[in-house]
Amino acid sequence: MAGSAVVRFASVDEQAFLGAAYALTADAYALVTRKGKGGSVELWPKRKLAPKALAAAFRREYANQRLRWALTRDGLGLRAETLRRALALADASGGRAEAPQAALTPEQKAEIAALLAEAEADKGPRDPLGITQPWEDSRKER
Amino acid sequence: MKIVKGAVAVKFGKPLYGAEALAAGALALGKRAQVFVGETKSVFSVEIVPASRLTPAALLALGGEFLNEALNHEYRQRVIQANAPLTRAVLAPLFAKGFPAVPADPLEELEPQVKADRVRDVEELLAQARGMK
Repeated sequence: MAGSAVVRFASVDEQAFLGAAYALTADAYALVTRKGKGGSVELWPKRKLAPKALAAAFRREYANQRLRWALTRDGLGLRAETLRRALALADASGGRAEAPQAALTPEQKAEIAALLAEAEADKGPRDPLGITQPWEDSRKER
Repeated sequence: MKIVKGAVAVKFGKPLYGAEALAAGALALGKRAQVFVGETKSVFSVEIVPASRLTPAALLALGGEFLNEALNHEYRQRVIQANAPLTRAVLAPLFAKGFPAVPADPLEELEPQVKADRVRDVEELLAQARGMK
């Protein structure tokens, strides 16, 4: 049928290849074929889209998917082990949330309030030479 | 995908596409079309006949919907398979908790012949069941 794009690769990562075809299904109808280690995809555009552009989009997406699947496979064992340990920890604690930290006593609250009030009332160290005064302010005073 | 006499014809290579993927495609089309499937050792031949007369563009869309649904199904299966270690990590402890090992039958513990007889009986029953059609 006219208007379709065919992209072939001599060797393909099947999961990534299917993933790339799937990613393009918003813009095209896709049919994947495998032959030995190779694979091809035929794409029919849903809207007015040049077959060349569709083929280029597929190549980009396939490169992207290959990287994504490689990362997924690399970290899979680690993620499974992390999940297993997290579940084991949750199970050991009986699935209950950690106990909240002890609340402050009224005496402690009063002490904190007094310290805050003292800090707010304090205007800072004495500065008779005006060292902390900005240069612009000292110019205005002259 | 070809349009032949008001219907859509597609060939799906095995084992990339399975029968379940074609069923998913047919389910997506619902009453809008009838789907006929032929099969050889390496290929499924699918013919999609619309319920009403359609333009070539509409036929392409109908066939395309079937293609995409079948692809969606296959890709979803790959993703599920790839994530099997994560599923196992979640489910294994649940099953281990929910189905503790069956305690040994004291009768079999006391008399080993009882266990041997039971194993033989089960094997005979299984053989009978396998022979049934």
